[in-house]
Amino acid sequence: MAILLSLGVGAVWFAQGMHMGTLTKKLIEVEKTDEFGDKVVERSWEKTFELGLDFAGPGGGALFGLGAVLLVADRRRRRKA
Amino acid sequence: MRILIALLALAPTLALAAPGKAELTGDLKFVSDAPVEKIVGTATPAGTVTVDLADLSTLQAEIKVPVTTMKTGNEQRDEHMLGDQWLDAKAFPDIVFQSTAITVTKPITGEEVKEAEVEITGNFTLHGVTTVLKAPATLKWKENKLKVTTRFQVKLADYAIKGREGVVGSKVGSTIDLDVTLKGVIQ
Repeated sequence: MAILLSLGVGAVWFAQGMHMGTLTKKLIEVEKTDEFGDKVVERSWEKTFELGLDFAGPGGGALFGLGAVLLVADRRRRRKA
Repeated sequence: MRILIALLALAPTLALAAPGKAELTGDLKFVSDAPVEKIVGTATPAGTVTVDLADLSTLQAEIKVPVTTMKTGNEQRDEHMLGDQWLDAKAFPDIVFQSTAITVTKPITGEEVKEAEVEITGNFTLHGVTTVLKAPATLKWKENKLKVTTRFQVKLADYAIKGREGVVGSKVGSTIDLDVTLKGVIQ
């Protein structure tokens, strides 16, 4: 079940471009007063981290690993029995 | 001798009364407000302005925005924006505004910081398509420092920007709001 789920999550990650980090930067707007006495906005882009697809790749891998461990454990249990 | 001293004292004023030229730099904010997504971006415009501050109708400006300076905070989206379905940066690397006429809509006010409102008419070229654009602008100057601010809209369809099918009007607004501030020193 975990392996099947991991394949689904992995497929989403693959379809979205296999990105390992957040793609979207945040626009930071800082209000200042310029030499003309006007309120102006200074803009810059800042890297952000957002929960979401960042975890799809590693999450899919973890689920796959969990599935494999459970599968091996199940086989050993059956052998012993 | 007195006349000479008086002329020297008036020199800075006379210099500003004559047309002066300024290299302008600044920032541009663009907003696409569509039903599915709101995209906010920035760009870096630059250009030149020639103006006699005593007669604003003499103003002539050329502003360029290299499309490669346009950022939306998402590199993948920026790549798409510069691609041939949208702005086609390879074929049309610059957005250009060339003024052709100025109308003063609010005369000069202020003492230390002077201010006037104008309507700038000019040729606006985007995606290789040139249209006549009229935009309201505020001019402010203090000594020889000049600031120009303007806000206007562009309709993507007017510039043959079609984008990916079904995206304009849903994820990307059919009209883009632009907010531009430019500053320079008049020489």
